[in-house]
Amino acid sequence: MTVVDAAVLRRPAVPVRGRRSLLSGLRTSRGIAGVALTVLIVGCGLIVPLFLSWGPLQQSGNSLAPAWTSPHLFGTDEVGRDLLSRVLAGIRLDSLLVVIAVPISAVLGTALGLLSAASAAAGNSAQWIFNLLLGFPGVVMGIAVSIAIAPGQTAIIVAMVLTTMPAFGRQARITTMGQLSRDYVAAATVAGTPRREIITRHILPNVLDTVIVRIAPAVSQAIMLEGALSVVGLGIQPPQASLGQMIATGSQYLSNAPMYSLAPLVVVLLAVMGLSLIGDALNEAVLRG
Amino acid sequence: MAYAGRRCLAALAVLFAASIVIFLLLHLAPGSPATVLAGPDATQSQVDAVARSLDLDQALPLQYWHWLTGVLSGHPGESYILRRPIGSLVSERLGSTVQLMIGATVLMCVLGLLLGIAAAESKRRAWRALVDLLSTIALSAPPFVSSVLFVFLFAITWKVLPAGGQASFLSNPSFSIQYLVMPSVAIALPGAAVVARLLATEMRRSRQEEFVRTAIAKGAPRWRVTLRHVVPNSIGPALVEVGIRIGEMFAGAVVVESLFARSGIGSLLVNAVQDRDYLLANDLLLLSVAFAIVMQLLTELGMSRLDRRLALKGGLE
Repeated sequence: MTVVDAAVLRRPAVPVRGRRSLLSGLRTSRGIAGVALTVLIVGCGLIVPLFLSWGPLQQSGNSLAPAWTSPHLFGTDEVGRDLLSRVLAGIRLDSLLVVIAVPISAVLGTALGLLSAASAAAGNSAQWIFNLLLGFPGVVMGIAVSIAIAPGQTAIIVAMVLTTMPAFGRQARITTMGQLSRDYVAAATVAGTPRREIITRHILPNVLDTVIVRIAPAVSQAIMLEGALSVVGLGIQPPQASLGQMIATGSQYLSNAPMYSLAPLVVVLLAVMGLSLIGDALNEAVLRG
Repeated sequence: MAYAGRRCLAALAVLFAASIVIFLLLHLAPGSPATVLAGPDATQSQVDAVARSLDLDQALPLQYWHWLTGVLSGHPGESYILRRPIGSLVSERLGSTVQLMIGATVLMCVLGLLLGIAAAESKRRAWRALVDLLSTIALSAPPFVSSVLFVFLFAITWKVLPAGGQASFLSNPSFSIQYLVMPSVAIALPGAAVVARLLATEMRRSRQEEFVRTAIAKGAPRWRVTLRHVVPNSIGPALVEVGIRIGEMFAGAVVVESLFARSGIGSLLVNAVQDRDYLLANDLLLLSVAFAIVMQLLTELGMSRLDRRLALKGGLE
């Protein structure tokens, strides 16, 4: 549970007045700063490469060229590849992995969490699966997955889904249980509304709002997982560029080519900061109701 | 105590399931360990001979049973690649990781307390904004980011700390602590930020309580009220977070040991997976997962003591 703090999880489900309150959360100063940072980083990753003459895998023949000189703004790595272009490729790669992994994780987690509305036994088994997954924290899950599937993008996506799912699932379960105990559910049951309809029509919309709040922390958890796994050499495999791998390899050249490591490092720091600002803003909005 | 008993049984069940998952990972893997061990030029009969010597030709449930009973009876087997008993490999390297995790835990508590009290007690807006900024930065710095940043700042720019390595705490405590500072702060930072937030939120709530107002009315100095009354009554959620973080700390140790060239359990695990030394990898995974699950259990039990109502309702969900 990285940014998921225990106090938030212990709080009973709050009534939510719909997406509008979430949007109002993003309009606070924290929310604006967070969205701006995230959009800036992803935007750079997508747009700036169009103006670069070097690709992330192209070797210029000039190894460890100094930073802040043309044509290599961040310098080059030990085999002469343009570091700016590689950092941007790392941003695109992380964005791609996260865009695939987090929605899968959110849908699976929410579905498992909603099971507790169906029956107590189903809910308990879901809880049991979450506890099992939480036994493999972060990079330990990544290592376990990379034993079964060879290290690489697929293994990282699987590990991202498995590590971020419990937070979605527990949140969905808490909100579901909170809603189940409310009068309208009893009223609907008495009125003969089928269980499935109560879940999809009434409980799901409430669950979605609290699950949406968990997306930003899950994304930063996923980015950190890619970084950590690539740092220990079990993530993205060379020659493909990834932020974590550049930070680790560059750390061997910190004294003569500090930008090698520091540029991807600052990108990760700012990305996670942007996401945690968004997470905080949305969380406050939901708690305010 | 029926509640505690139930939670213990549930944790055992999760651990048992985890051991099966860990065992099966190997059999999902492409290429059997026998092929790896026999080398690229081995004939099929040589591979079969290696497989037989490792009992890999037996039925899966039987292999699992041998592995589990071996680990539980203190005979975790031998590393295929390093050709040494796993028990002695682990005992050699456990000390380094334990030092690191104790250091990180202490720092997480101390930094969390200081930042939390600073955040809750600060009246001036600018001060509060500064503390807020510091904790946002700490929260956003995963260990692999802060490690490299610290090395750049404190080992290369200002040469005050060693960039990597380790020393025995017993024979050379002062060197050992110098080696420990950066890696343990790197692991501690994100947790310290969350601990600080939880503590500050609870402290602001406690300040409004009757007993605090009584203490203030009796004329006790502000720092005394804070330390004797407000902090002890606000520490619960922060302690729960510390428990959760300790359970997850091995993940941070894996990364930090690799970046700071420390030979602990984390780097042993990474090397085992890279060399396809499967038995060693399985044993170490089981060890780390067992630790995480035990910490989960202790945290849940601690939380239920904090909040009796949960225990009556049948547990934290």
